[in-house]
Amino acid sequence: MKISPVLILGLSFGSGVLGSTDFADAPRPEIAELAWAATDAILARHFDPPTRQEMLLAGITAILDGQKPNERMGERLAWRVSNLTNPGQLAALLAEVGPRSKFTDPEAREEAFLTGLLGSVKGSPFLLSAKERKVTESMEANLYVGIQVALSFEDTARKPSFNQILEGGPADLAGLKAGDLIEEIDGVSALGMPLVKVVDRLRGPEGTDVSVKFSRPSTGEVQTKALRRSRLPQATIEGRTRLADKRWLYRLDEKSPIGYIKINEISGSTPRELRVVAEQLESDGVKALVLDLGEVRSAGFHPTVLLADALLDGGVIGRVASSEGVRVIQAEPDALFRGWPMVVMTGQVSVAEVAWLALALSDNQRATILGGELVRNDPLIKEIVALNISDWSVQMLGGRLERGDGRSLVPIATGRDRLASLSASDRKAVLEAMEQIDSLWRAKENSDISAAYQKALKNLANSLNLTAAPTDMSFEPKLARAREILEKALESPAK
Amino acid sequence: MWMIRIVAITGLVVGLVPGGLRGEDLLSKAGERRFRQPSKLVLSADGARLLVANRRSGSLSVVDRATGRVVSEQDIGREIVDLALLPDGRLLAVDRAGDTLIVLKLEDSGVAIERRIAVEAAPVAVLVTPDGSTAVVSSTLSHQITIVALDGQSDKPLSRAIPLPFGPMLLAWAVRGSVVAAADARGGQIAVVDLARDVPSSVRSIPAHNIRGLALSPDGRSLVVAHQTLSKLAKATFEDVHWGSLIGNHLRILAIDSVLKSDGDLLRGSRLIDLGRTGQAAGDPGAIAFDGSGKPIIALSGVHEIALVSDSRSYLARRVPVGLGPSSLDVSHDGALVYVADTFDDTISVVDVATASRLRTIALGARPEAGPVERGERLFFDARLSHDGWMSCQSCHTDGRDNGQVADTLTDGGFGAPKRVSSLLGVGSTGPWGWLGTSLKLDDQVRKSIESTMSGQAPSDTEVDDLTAYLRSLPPPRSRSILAADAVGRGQALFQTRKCADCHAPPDFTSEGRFDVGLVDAVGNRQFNPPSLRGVADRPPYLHDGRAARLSDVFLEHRHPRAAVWSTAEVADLVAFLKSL
Repeated sequence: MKISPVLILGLSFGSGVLGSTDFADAPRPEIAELAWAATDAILARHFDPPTRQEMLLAGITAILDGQKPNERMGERLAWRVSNLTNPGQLAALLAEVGPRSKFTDPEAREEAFLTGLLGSVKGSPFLLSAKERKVTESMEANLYVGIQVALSFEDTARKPSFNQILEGGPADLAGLKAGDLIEEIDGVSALGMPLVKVVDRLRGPEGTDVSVKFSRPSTGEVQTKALRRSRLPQATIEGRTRLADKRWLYRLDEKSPIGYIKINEISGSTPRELRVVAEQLESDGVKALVLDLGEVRSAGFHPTVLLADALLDGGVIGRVASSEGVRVIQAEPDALFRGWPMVVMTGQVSVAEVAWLALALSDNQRATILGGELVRNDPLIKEIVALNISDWSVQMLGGRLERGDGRSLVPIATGRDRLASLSASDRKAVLEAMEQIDSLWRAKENSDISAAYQKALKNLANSLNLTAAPTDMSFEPKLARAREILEKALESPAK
Repeated sequence: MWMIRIVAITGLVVGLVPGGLRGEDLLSKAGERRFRQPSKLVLSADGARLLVANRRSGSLSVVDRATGRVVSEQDIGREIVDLALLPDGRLLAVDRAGDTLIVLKLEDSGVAIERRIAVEAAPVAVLVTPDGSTAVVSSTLSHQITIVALDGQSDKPLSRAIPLPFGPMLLAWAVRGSVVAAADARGGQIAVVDLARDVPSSVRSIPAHNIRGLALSPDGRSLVVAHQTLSKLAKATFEDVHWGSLIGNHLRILAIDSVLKSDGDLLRGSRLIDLGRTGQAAGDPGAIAFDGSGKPIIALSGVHEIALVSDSRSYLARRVPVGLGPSSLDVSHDGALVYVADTFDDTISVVDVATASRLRTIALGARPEAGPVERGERLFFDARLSHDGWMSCQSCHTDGRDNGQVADTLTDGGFGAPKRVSSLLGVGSTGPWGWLGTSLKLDDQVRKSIESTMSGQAPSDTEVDDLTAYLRSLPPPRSRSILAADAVGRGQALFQTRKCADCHAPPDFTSEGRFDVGLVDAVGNRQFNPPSLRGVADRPPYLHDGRAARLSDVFLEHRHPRAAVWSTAEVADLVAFLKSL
C-alpha cells in the first residue's frame, strides 16, 4: 500500500504510535495522579471503557509480571483495587506492590504499569505530553514542523538513517538523500541513539536550526549541514491529469463542464485546497463535480467535520455516539460548489470518517454515491482528550460515528469477520505479522523497534493487498457512470 | 437662535452653534495638532477635490487633487462619519454624535454650512437619490432607517421612519433611486426597502458578520458585500486559523435579481470570493469601490492594504499596502487612481490602478503624540496581531461590542463548547473575565485572546497596557429607546424580588463569582461567571451558547435561572427593564 508522507512522519516519530513516552525527557505528573486522571478521561469519553478497577488491576498485573495477582497477593489485591477512591490511595498501593515487581528500575516499573493499564482498554489508547499532542495536531492539520524526513534505523551501522526525504523540505534543499546515515545531531553522537531520542532532538520550534552531520555510504563523504525546521504542507488533493506546466487539471478533460477532485487525505488543509480549486473551476465555467473518495488514505475527524461543512449548506452532517451521549453535528449555511450536481465515488473505503462524509452528502441529497461496501470495521473515531491535571492528554477511541438520523454507517463488520474472509495462507501471514507487532510492543526493545515494526507492517500490507477482492466497479467504468449521471443532471437542471 | 463667539487665546475665532444657523463662520483648522481619523472620502462632482470626513475631530478636510495639498479643514460637527454628494455638487454630511445631517456648499476656500437637519439618534450612513430630493439615513442604535425629504430649507423636514428588526449600518442602492439595501451593523441580515413603502420588502440573512462594505456594481447587476465569517465548528487553534477555517474574509457578489425577489433565496446565483489566502489573510475587509471596468476594489482595513480584484479568483487579486486602517475609498473618474482614507494615520493614500502601487501619501495635518488610548485603539483594529492577519479584536468584538456569534476558544478552558463572544463596552469594570471567570486581570484576558484565540505573537507589555487603556476608555453602552416608565419600574422591582441581582448586581449587573444556574455546556461546565447586563438588549442571542434568540426566550423558553417559572406579563416588564440598562 502506498504510504502517505504524513503517515510516514507518524511512523517515524515513534513514541506516540507505540504508546509509550520517553519519560526521562518530558516532566510528567506523579504516576498515581496520572493514572487516575487517565482513567477518569477514559471512563468519560471512551466508547466502551472497562471499569476503573479493571484498568488499575491490569496495570498492577503488569508490574507483577503477568502473574495472576490472586496468586501473588491473594484476593485482597482485587478487593483493594476496587476500594480505591483517590490517587493518593493508589499511590500507596503502588508503593506496596513495587518491591515485589521484577522491574527494579522505578521508571521501568511505572512504564509497565501504564502500559498494562492502557492495554486493557479497547483500541490501545496512549498518553501524550503537551509537546506530543501539539505534534499530533499539527500533523493532522498538515502543518508538521521539522526537517521533513522519514527515519529508520540501520542495524549494522547502529545509526539512524533517512528513509525518505520529502521534496522541497529543509533536508532536501540541503542535499540530503535517502540512505544517508546520521552521525551527529547538534554535535551529539547518534551512534546507538534510540529513534525516539533522534526524533526528539531533530524536532524544535519553527524557524530554529538543527545541525546534522551525516555520511553517505555510497560515496563515503561526511558533511555537516544546518537545517531550518519549517512546515511543508503536502497537497492532499489531486486532479484528473497533469497539464504541461505540472499543474493539475481538475476537470474530466480540458473542455468538460464537469470537475474532478480526488482526495488523498482529509487533513486540516483539505477544505482550503478545495476552496481554491472551487474558485478556479467556477471561473472556468464548470458546473458539476465528481468527488473521488475512493483512495483516501487517512482522515482526521475534525478535518472531516470541516470538510463536510464546506460541502454542505446546512443540514445534519452526522452524529457521534459516546458514553456521554449523542452529539449531533450540524453543518453551517453556505457551501462550496453551490447548486452543482455532484457524484461521490467511493472504493473499498476503510476509513470510517470517509464513509461518514459520503453518507452525509448522500443523506442530505447533496450527492449520489457510486461505490462499494463502505466500512469494514467499527466506525470509531480517535479523540485526544485533555486530562484534568497538567497539560497531558490521552488519545483513545472516542465516539462511534453514526448517520444523521442515528442509523449506523453500514452493517458493521468487525476485524474478525474480515479475517475470516481471507484465504488460509493469507490469514496465517496476517496473524503472524500481528503477533510480531504485539510482541514488539510488549518487549519494548526501543532501539530495534522501529525497523522491525516497519518490516512487520510491510508484511501485513502485502498480505492485505493479496486478498483485495474487488466488490465493485473498477475506476474507469465508475468514472464513466459518474459522467453519465452528471451530464444528464446538467441537461435538465432542477429549478 | 443664537450664536456665541469665543475668542481663544491664540486669537482665533470659533463659532459655536447649537441648533443650526446658515452661512456661519467656520474656522480653518488645517494647521492645528489633532487626531482626525478620516473615515469617509468622496471626490467632488467635478473631480477636482477630495472631500474627507474626519470622524474624531468632527471636521471636513478639502484636498486639491492636482496639487495634493489640503485646501481647508473646518469643524462642522462632533463626529462626521459619512458623506454623500448631492447632484448639484453640494455635500451631505452625517454627524453621529450630533444626531444631525449637515448640508454643505462647496466654495473655493472650503465649505459652508447651509443648514443642519435633526435626525433620530446616532445616524451612521446616508444615501441620496440621484435627483437629490431624498436622503435615506440609517441608525444602528435606533434600529431604523429614515427617509428624509431634502428639498426646502427647514431644519426639521418631512421624514418617515422604517423600523428594522436589527441595527443597520451600511446602505446601498439595490435599484438606484428607489430600492435600498440596508445591512446589519454586526450580523448578516440584509433588509431590502422600497422607498415608496413603509415596511421592508424583505429581511434575509447571508452567512456573515461585520458587513463593512456594501455597494451596487456600476452595471446594477450585483450587490457586492464585504464581510467576515466565523465558523462554530472550527476551533480557535493555530491550525484552524492558519487554513482559514475559523475566520473567513470575503467578498460576496449577490445577484440583484435574487436581492429584489423578496421570497427567494438571497444567495441564488451569488459568488463568494475568498479575500484571505494561506499566509496572507485579509482581516476586516471593508469599503468597496469599482475600477474603470467595474471590477471591485476593497479596503482591507485590518491588514492596511487595498485589494484590486480583477478576476473572481482571489489568488489573482493584487494587493497594495496603504496607511493604517484604510476605511474608505473613491476612484478618480478616469478609473486610473484610487484615493484611500487611512483612518489611523490621518493621511490619504493615492494608488495607481494600472501598476497596483502607492504613488504618494497626503497628510491631512499635524498630530499630537499618540498616548496609550490612541495606540490601543490602533492595535484593536489591527489584524496583524493575529497569525497571518486573519482577524483583529474588531473582527469578533465589533466596535467594542460583540459580533453576535459563538466561537470555540480556550477562554473557557477547553474546546468543544463554543460560546458567545462577549461585549467589551464597560469591560474595565466587569472583572473577572472569560465565561468561567478565569482571567482575574484584564491584562491576562487580553494576552490570552491574542496568543490563544488569535494565534498571534505574544504582545509586549506596552501593547497590552495600550489595549487595556483603550478598552477601559470604551464608554458603557448607550441605551436605546424611551420605554414605558411603569413597565421599567415593575421590571426593576421584579429584578430585585426574583433575586436576579444576586448574580447580576448593579451598577454593572455582574459579579465576581461563578454560579450554577441550571445551564450545562457541551463539555460539562455548569458554573459560569455572569456577564454584565448593561446594553444587553442590543446583543442577541443570549446565554453561554446563544441558545436564546431573544431576551424573552431566556425566561419563557429557557426558564433562566434554574427552571424558574415566569408569566408572560412578568417577562414583558422584566424585558422592558433590561432594555433600559
